[in-house]
Amino acid sequence: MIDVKKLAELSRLGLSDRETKKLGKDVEGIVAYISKLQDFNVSESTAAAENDFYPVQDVVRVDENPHQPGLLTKEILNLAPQSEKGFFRVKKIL
Amino acid sequence: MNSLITIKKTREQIAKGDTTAEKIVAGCLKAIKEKDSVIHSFLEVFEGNALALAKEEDRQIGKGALPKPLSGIPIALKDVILVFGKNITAGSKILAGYKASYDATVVKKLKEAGAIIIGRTNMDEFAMGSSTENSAYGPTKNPLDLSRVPGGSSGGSAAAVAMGGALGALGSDTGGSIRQPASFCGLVGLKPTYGRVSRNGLIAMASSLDQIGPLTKTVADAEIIYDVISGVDPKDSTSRDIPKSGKIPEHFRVGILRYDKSGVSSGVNLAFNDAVKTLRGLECDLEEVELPSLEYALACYYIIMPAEASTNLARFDGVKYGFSANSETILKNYLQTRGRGFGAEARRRIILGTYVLSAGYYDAYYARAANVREAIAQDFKKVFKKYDAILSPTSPTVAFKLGEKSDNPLEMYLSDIFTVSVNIARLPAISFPARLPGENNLPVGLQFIAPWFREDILFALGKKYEHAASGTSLS
Repeated sequence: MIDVKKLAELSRLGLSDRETKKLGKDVEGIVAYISKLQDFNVSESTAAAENDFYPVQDVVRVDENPHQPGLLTKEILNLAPQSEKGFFRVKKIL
Repeated sequence: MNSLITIKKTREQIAKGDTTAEKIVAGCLKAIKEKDSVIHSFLEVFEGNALALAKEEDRQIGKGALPKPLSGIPIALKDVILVFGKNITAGSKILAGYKASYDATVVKKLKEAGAIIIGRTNMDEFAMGSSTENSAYGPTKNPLDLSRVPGGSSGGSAAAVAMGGALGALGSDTGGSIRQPASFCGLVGLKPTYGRVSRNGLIAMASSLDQIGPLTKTVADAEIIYDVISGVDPKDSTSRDIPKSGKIPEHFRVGILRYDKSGVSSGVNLAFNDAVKTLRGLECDLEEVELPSLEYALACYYIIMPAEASTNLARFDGVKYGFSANSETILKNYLQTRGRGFGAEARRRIILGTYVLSAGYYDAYYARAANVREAIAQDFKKVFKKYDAILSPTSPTVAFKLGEKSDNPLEMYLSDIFTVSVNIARLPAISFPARLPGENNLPVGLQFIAPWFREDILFALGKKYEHAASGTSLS
């Protein structure tokens, strides 16, 4: 049994009881399908070793020449549901 | 669909002075006015903007400026690619009213190439879907048959081009969302290699799978747009600086993918077999190939994609932008904003993603899928040692009817069988119209898959087939 209520809590999704039930059915069906991956025989060496066809490299992005601070503040805060004195306004957290 | 109006021909005509950018844009706007109230491919048309830019482009050409690669060409954008100052929704209510504060890199490149961005197109919410029925703003209809879907999630872009509202469009493809709508609407759709096109300014769905690509009427048109939008970008560290072309073989060796014919409609099978025959007559060596791990690709995709999407959608919380439920507490605000702002499919995939990433399940699902992914890529690597490309159908069926698949999510997912492995392996692939139509005279899309960063092979093979299939001059 998949605990949809717990998952909804974790992902901050407010769901009605009806929605929770329907999602439970949907997700169980999908999880049953994706569980076929358990049958797949992955040899550790195959998986990890030969990544030479798509080499992955570490990239450090040096952010040189930043634009002046505050350039886009007005634009961005205009989109905020609530803002005040240059800040995003949120409900009390603590 | 007026097959004579291609990007290639239009820019020749603009350069010669046989037409103007204004005329071209006006023609598209006329088609939109006449047809789009029914088809609903556009969420917004930038009418005033587009005409003004077209006139300016004409003025510049009149003064002797050399036309740029896309001068005066109207391009539509899937509503998931940021255009500075314009609204963008990703097909969702949770972003209603949001305005982009910057241009996506591909948009910058299109603008620099002289393209006229004519509007933003409808899509499945957050690119989650294969029919555009999951849009929070209503479905889009297939211009070739209004009772059917245009495909998804880039259905609006496909419909816009097919109905003449734009000469080309950009879509995004995470598991087939460019290629499948292209196949349903009789168009060419390209998903470039992962890393070929910058994702800066693309509203992310699954960050290790997403790519932006063109939907056009011809292979040459797709190549024109691809040439403009591709290239390494310091703002996208997953983009790669790899040469665009390699050695094109004189004699192509194409692997015909072995698949279960019973899972595919007879019309698609017939069209596929006919294409194989055509290719044999074009000095291509064709042989059946098998990809043993392919049957696990769909399961792999439906673990990795929801996992990454659930993470990417965590930012929509009613705090920084978009819809906010304005509830009494911060927690209630998250729950109600996201519960009400996201549609059913988005909620479903977030729950699925949360499940496969949660403690106790991460190793069995996401970590395992990451390993299977590399094994699938290995399979492709083995095939590409012997073959230049792989041929398969794009979709198991022609365009289905609106409402036909929306009740069973798993059934919808299973129709992605031919497309998802390409994203999983990070490969490039192109969908192109088969010579033979399928059931109800609807177009059938076929797919070439090429090795990493070999889009040039896709264009060469695609043009070869197009030329033979239509009997027109090789373009």
